[in-house]
Amino acid sequence: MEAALTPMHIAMTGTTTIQDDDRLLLERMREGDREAFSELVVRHQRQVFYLVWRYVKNDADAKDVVQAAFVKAWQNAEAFRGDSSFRTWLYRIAVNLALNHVRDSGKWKTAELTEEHASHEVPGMQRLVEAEAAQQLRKAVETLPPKQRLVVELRVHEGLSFREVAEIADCSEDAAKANFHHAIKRLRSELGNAE
Amino acid sequence: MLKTIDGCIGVSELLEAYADGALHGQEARRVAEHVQHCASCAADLHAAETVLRALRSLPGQAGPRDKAFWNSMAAEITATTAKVTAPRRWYRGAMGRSFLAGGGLAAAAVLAFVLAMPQQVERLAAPSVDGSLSETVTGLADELQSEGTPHRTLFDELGIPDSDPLDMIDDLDDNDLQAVGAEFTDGV
Ligand SMILES: [Zn+2]
Repeated sequence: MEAALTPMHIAMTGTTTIQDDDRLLLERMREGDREAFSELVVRHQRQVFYLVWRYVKNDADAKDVVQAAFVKAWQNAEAFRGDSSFRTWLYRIAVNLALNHVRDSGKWKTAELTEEHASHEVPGMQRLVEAEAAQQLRKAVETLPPKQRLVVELRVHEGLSFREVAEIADCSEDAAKANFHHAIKRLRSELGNAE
Repeated sequence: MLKTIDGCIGVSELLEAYADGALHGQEARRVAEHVQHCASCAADLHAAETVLRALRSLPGQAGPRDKAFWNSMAAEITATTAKVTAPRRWYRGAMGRSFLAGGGLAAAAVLAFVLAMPQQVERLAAPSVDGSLSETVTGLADELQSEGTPHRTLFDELGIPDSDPLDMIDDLDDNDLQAVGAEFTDGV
């Protein structure tokens, strides 16, 4: 079990290789292989954590949601048929859980720069202005309609292809692009014609 | 308002994806050619690029985490998962083996399965199991039920959830379930 927690293939290059490996690991996981599952956890937990964090806004909740997402993935491995990547499937589960969590906790926290960033900031005028602009933009993203926001998060911050975004957002690729279009237009107008 | 030309429709909604470098081939060429002649779309493209640059420059909110953080999170996930049941396919595997070898634990798992989801067992077992074995299992199930054995105990003993694991995705809507279960075809 120790070995399974050691990050492996971190230097691996090429999405295809990683996805192929995910596929093999997933196949083993579906047979109940816990080591394969652990390897998938090590591979994907960071990205899922950061994605979830942007919705829940704190470490404790983000960890809970990530954990729940992996547990669901483990329990429902059979439902995954491998036509999409393990990552998009996992993201999909995690995003649903994160949205639920935010809904259930009854409050959409407003965008705030984290303490880490706040404390590192030298209060120079320029930085203050930048920080404010960043906060405003972040807040604008968070108040987008849910699907538009999801597309922005996945596309801009996770760097996923529109095909992957569409899989996670449960829509066509064209619809994902359309959501992206509306999201960016909206952000632009809310930020007063970003120029 | 800047001057627009014919052909904005079908291009204007792709400007953001184009600005993000997500278009290829004919689609990308169509946008590139259009903005050379359409001042309005060219301005929108420029604005989209500006917004995207600003988005990309946003600080990562969660901040960096050290190795210990990830290690402990992975360990927690693994430990939690160890307490819950194996993937759903495990039942299938157990079922198949039990029919062949008549193993006790596997047989009990089948029984639990039968009590919970008779239809599912029929569906899953039908292609690989002959009629007499199916009857045996059904018979065992009947026997157990007639004795009034609470099947919860069986589930508890075996550590098997008493519902279809798919039901646990209670927070996904119908579309989500479709996509998770039905849309993905068996390509492995
Ligand atoms: Zn135009």
